[in-house]
Amino acid sequence: MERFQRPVFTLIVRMVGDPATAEDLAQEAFLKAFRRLGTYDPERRLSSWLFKIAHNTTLDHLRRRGTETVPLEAPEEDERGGLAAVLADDTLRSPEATAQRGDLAAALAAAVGALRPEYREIVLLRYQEGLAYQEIAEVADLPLGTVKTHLHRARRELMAALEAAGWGPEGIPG
Amino acid sequence: MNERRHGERKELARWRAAEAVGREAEAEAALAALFVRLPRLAPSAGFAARVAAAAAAGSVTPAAARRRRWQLAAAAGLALVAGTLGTLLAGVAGPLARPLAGSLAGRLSVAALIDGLASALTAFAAWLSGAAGAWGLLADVGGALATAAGTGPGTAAVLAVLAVSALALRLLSDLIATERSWSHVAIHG
Repeated sequence: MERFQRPVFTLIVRMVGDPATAEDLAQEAFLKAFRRLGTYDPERRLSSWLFKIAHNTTLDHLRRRGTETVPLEAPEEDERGGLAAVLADDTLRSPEATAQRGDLAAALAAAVGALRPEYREIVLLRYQEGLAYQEIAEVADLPLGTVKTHLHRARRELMAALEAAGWGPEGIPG
Repeated sequence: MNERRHGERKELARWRAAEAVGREAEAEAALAALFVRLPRLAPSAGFAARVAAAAAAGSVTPAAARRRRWQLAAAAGLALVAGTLGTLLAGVAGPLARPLAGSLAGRLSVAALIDGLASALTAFAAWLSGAAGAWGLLADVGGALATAAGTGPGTAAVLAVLAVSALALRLLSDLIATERSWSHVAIHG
């Protein structure tokens, strides 16, 4: 669990936007995995299996809450809640703000947070956790072709968000 | 810091260029290089220890707790039904059991068994004739209910009871399905 707590927690917190909720869901996911350890197929990667449990647990939570999208950035000027408060920089507000400070990583994190949940999850599994297309398809219960299409579209949306925030080819700050 | 930002801008430019000409693999590699720079988030201190302790103590997750409540409710319902049936059966079997037990007490032989069975059958016949009268009473009650249900208000009452029962059953079914559907892990692809 020491090895997987960060990746699982990171995936969940970027999906639900609240660190406390993410920690509860991560705990729930690990407890489920512990109880079902006897059913784990060693032929498959343990990380994929854990991400699958985390995926189901998070979706269960989102459907109970009736939430379709969860913005990562704080909606109000003075609010410090949500994932924005967890990121390294407390003054993070939007991709535009991060562009002003020349912090591309933070701008990218904000852009990822603005993606629709199904794109966000696939992007995180692919580019953050390094899962193969087939593994992502199994975790997210999607056809392989759909995973590739979602990734392609998500990349375009991320690029558009970054360019709109001032990270275009002409306007790279810093 | 400048070197880091220079590296970031370089990867961003590489990603943009690869996307523009449809080089998917290169675009993905450049974006993955940027993702490496995202802040890595972690749960609060002691998370692993807390989960391990919860697992060792057999703690249940909220979803599992809800499932257990439903299981307990179902078990309680079954127990109630079983108890009711058991009481009814005891009422029927009582007249059989007592003479049979009395005949067999202290005697375990074929003759004793036959004697016991004969006594039990005699007692059962007597009980049955008494119970037949009860059926007549039930028939009278049933007839009165049927007459009442044939009226407008009676029909409406019956329909209302049926509708409430169907709604309750549907709600219960939905609740149980929700517990099962999104927490289920498909272990094999």
